[in-house]
Amino acid sequence: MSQKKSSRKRGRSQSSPHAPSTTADAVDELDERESSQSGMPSVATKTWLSIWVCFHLSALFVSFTSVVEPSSLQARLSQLVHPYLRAGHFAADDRPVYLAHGSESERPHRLQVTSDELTDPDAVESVDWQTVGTGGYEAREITPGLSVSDRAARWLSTAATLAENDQPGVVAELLLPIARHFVDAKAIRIVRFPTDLDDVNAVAESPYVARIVRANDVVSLIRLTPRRLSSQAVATPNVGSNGGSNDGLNGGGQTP
Amino acid sequence: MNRAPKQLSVAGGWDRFWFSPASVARSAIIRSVLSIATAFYFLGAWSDAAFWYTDGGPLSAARVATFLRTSGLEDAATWIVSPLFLAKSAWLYKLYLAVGIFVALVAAIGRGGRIAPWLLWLLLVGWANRAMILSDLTETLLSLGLFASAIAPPGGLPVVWLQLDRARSHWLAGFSQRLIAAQVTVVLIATFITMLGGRVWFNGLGAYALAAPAQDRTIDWTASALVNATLHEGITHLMVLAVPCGLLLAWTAKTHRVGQAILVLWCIATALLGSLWLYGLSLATMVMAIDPCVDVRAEIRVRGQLPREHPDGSPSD
Repeated sequence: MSQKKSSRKRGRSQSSPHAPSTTADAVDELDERESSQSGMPSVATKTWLSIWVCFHLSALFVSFTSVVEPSSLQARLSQLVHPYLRAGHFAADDRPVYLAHGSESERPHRLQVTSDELTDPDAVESVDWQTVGTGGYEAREITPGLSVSDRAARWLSTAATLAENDQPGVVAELLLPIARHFVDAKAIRIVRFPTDLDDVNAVAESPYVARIVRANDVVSLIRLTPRRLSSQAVATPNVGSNGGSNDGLNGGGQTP
Repeated sequence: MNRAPKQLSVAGGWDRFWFSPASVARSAIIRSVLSIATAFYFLGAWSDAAFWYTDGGPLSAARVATFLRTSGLEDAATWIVSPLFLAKSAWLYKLYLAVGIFVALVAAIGRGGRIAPWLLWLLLVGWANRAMILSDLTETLLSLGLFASAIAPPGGLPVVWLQLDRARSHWLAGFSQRLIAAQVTVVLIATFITMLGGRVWFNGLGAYALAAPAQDRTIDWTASALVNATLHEGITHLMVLAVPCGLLLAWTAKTHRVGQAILVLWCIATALLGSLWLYGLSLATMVMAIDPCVDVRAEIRVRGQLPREHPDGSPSD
């Protein structure tokens, strides 16, 4: 092997103005010549591609692993690589890389409107709700699990998560076109249905309920928030009808 | 100063892994399948494109701008670029999808030279970036796969079927296949790590959690034998183990077909349970690019000789 190398060196140095001074230089020179002769990439091309590959795979790993509670360091790294990843739609962002964790956001969501007046958040289940179509305003036959229903599911899941994170203004922005389309609707809600993973007594929840207010072609959504538990005394209008609540005070308030 | 032999072999190993020539036909098959998956993706977006994106729709350009401003995400969205943010009418979106389907089919049959695969990738990225909160992992996988497969020299199904150019090899085909394989490996490792972030993949409920939102699933597994605890717990544990074991076996020369089979079965199980059809198809296709062996015959064809420091690797098929 070394004889071949040295004979190659002797042969090539007769035509080359600069004889390689070390074994490594000889190897590099041989690489360059083979590359140009055989259509293989040059050393410079290989170097730049290698650097890019290392960066690209590292960026992917940081992005894909930061979907579950990233550390502050990982979050900072993600921010650094996001311009590159987002431009090419390579970023995982908040998508469920883990497939499923059994969280509330993975439960089925539906959007519903009602033409009944609704001012009391506790009366949500007593009105007649109509489910809005999936991927369209009107209800139509959609095969679940295909892309149309998946898009609607992701949209509603995002809206429900935003509602639970106290961002009603953002949710309203997402739902306003629906509220505008259904001109007779007086309230709108996102309903979340339980699955077999939930307690047998679990019922459908409404992470977002809002009154639709229309005035001069302007449509607004006013969120109806459930009453919170409070230790503050609440005066009741008729003590006797409470069947023994002795002094007219109801401690504890209502449950949401 | 001479480079130590160990450094030379590490660099040589890296070079051989990434820059060895490989069969153009093989990379063409992978690109064809990904292109067909992309065509189905665009087709699936046809029926509700007008509802979501046109003027007055829930994700019209104006509404997206307001949404980003209200939620304080304007900086995060700076790099989410798409020409569709300038489009307001339904026919433009449908035209975009029609062009996307056409280009996907052209790329799938190996026509269009180098332009079709790159154009297809750009069309997919443009649509996926426009979709924003509606997009999921399918778009990300397709983008990674199409990008890597566009690097390979042009070629397609008819060439393979006619047994022409089967001997054609190129270093870009090798680089493309390695990139797809490396990307899918990173994705699967990240999937395994993040799965372990949820209790359901430890307590045996993972497979059931995937199938549980039955109203949003094409197949309702909750009314089937999956309710049996032994069955869904067994599937859950197998799904967790399949990822690292499959990857290990796939990257080992003697067992790489077995490893690929395990990973493809994992993709099929995920697709069936979670109705993740295009996700499963894209991932399974990219898994087929995993090949730890260097194509010795391709190297000889291109270089005219074996490279220096060639290991005792078995030739790939």
